Order: sequence, then structure tokens, then C-alpha cells
Amino acid sequence: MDFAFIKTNAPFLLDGATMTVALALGALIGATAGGAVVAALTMSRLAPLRWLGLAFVEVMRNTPILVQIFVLYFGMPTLGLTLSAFASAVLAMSLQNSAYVGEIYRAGLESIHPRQREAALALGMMPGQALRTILLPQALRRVLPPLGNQFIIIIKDTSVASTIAVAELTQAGKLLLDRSAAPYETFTTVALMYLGMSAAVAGLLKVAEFRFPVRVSQ
Amino acid sequence: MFHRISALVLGLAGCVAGLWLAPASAADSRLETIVKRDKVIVAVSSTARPNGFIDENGKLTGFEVEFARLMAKALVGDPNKIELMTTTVDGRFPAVLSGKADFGISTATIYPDRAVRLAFTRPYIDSSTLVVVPKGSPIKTLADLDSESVVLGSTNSAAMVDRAKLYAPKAKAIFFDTDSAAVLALKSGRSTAWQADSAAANFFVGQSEGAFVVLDGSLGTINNNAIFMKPGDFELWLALDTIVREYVNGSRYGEYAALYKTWFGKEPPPQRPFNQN
Repeated sequence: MDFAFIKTNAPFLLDGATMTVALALGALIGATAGGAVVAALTMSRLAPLRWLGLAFVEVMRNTPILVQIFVLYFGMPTLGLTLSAFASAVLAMSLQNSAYVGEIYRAGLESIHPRQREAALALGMMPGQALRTILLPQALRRVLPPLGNQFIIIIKDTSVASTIAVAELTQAGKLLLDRSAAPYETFTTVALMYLGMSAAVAGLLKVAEFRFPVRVSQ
Repeated sequence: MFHRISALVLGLAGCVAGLWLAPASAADSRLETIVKRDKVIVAVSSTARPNGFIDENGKLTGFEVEFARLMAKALVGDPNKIELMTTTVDGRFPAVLSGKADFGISTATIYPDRAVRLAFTRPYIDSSTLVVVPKGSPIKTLADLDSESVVLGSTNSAAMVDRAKLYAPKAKAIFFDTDSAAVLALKSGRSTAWQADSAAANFFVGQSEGAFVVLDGSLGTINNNAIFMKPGDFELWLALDTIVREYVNGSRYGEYAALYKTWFGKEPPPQRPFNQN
């Protein structure tokens, strides 16, 4: 291992890592918000909305992220919509992860016993109030661990953006490797950078889990 | 949490140490292994027309793939005693450094930075970089590339990145993993120009039925493309280098010239006399 090589080239890789963080943040916000919409659709009492939600989840979950990114980046211009490479990548990751996150939310909400809702309504709460004050706080605690998993997957999925010319960490690593033919040094550094990012997210979620523990009291 | 992270770091360090220590134990020349195995394993590209690509019949072929067969013919006596290992641009060097392939023939330009960690034979072909634009494009000359309205696409290689910065600093440069994706970008209008290896550019334009043209002149200097292998194995290197020399201007020049003509439609540089090498 040539540590001097790593030291010299770390700034170049850090530029890529900054782009990775931007992609991951965009997709994280998109997926967290989009997931709520998906959960609302799939749990809707109106059958057409439910079907729409389920169809979205199946299409997004069952097609590879690479294909989705290619469709958005190379395919949409033919329909007159030209998104930048960055926007295409963030949108594709947000859409796919909305499907997963929506299912996580739904699982969280459905894990709360239906009698709790009935009890809240019996006490005179409005349905929205029961959701906000009784069901959501409990569900959110339960979804934190799977949500953490999903966020880490998002960080790693950002590497796919290199295929549509987004200069993120993996692309920077590939370029450095191409210039120097030093795969071990390059990809060890790249792996450690991804590990750092994922560990930071995992750590934050652990803190959140600790701060809002699940209370088993059904 | 902390324990989990330490375990991960230790695991990763273990993998790296394994990769690092592995080459130290290989003392024998790989040439013996190849001869004993009676087959060569060569890293080639499958997405770089006309050098290495999958043709309409699903067969991996191209100038470099067929040249790899000529190398196999010289090394083990049969052009079919070969295992073609397809890699992308970024996978080609790890393929030989990790020992998975004996050597690679994959549009690799001899580059001083690379020579520190890779061994190159003498070149089997020279190449230049051409720029392809759609027919009727406002980009008429190489000088027109240096404009903010230009989106210059290419593969994500060090030489391409350097050229984009040098010759078109005002243009927006975008880099793809494969030539195929860079071509797709040009076709879909994502890029307005594509810089590519001369062989790939000429081949693409020839197949495009007039929809695309090559700009006059080449971007930058003439490059040397060569076979690359893991350094430190003199016997294998010498054998490969000698065989390449015999093909490009020695006793097997006829076979090389025929191959060159098949893929590029013209004669290769003439066979040089012995004292002008």
C-alpha cells in the first residue's frame, strides 16, 4: 500500500465524496417525503388510489435503479423533458426509494394495534388527531431501524450515478484508478469514505432510536 | 455501535492486507503457468467498437479480441486456446493486477503515470483522438469545441479528462463508464460532441449512414496502445513484447496486416526495416 499516494489524491476523492453527499441528501429527502405519499396511497380507503400506490411500488421495486436512471437521463429528452444528470440521479433514487420507504411506513403504521385507533376515536378524537397523536409517534419509532437500513442503501446506490456522468465518489475513484493503475490504494480509500458516510448515518439513527425508544405497552 | 464499526474497519483492513500480501508469494513466471495451463486468459473490452464488442450474432470480436487470439496462437499454438475476460475501462487494470487475467488488451494507452504500476509491452497500434459531431452541427472545427454551448462527452479515462480540460476548457465535459454510454449521450442529444479513440470514432461514423461526422484533425498527440500486465514478471513481459514486435513489424507481419485491414479497411503502417525500430 502506497500511503503517500492516498495522501496526495485524497482531496480529489473528497470532491467526489462531496457530490455523493449531495446526491444522498437529495435522494434521502425525496424518499422520506415520497414515501409518505406512497404510504398514504397504499393505505387509502379509495380503491383507485390504493391501486395506483400499489402499482407504483411494484414498478419501482421490481426494476433496477440503473435502468430507471437511464430512462430518466437518456429517455426523457426524447419526450421533451431534459433533466440534468444530477437531477435525473436524485429523482430516480427518490422514486425507487419512495416505494421502499412507503412500505416501511405502512408496515410501521399497520404494526400498531387497530384497537388503539378505535380507542382514540371512542375518546372523541378526530381521525386525523388520532393518527397524529396516537398512531404516528409509535409508528415512527418502529420504522427507525428499517429506515436506517434504507438510508444506508441510498448512500451506496449513489455510485450508480457515475454511469450518467455525475462526478461522484465512485467516478472519481475510477478516474484515479485509470490514471494511476493503483486499484488497491484507490478503492480502499473510496471504501473507507463510503464507510464513514454510512457510519455517520447509522450513528445518527442509533441516537434517534435511543432518544425515542419503542415502548411495548399493547 | 463502536464495536461494530471497529469490526468493519478491521474486516476491511484484513481484505486489503490479503490483496497486498498475495503477490509476494508468486515467484514463478506466469509464462510457465500459461504454457502448463495450455490456455491464455486475456482481459478485453466488450463495449468498445471496433476493438472489442459483441457482434450481431452475439460473438465477442473486434480488432483487439482477434489480436488477443493471435497472441494465444503464438503463446500456446492455437488462437482458440483463450479465455476472454471482458471488463469495463475501470476493471481492466485490476483484472491483471489481481492475477485474474494473464494480461490485457483493452485500448490501454501507455501513460507515464500508469507505467509506475503496470508493465506495458511495445505498442501494437497507435491511436489518436477524434471528435464526432452530428451532421449539420454548429461545431465545424476542433477550435469550435472551446465554447460554453458545447457538451463534450467521452469515457471516464485520464487521457480523455486531460484533453477535455486542455482543448475545451469552456465546454461542459461529461464522462461515462463506457463508449456505448457516451455514444448514447451523443445520439440522445445529451452531448453535442464525442471525443473518442480514432478506431472507435471512425467505426461509429462509418456505421451511422451519414448522420454523424468526424471533425478534421486529431485532438492532441498520437498515443501508443499496448498490452499491459502485472509488473515484475520479466519472462512473461519479454515473451509478450517479442511476440508483439514479431506481429507489428517482424516475421508475422502478414497476419497483423491482414487483421488490421479487416477492421480498419486500410493497410497498417509499413513493416519497418530492422535498423529503424
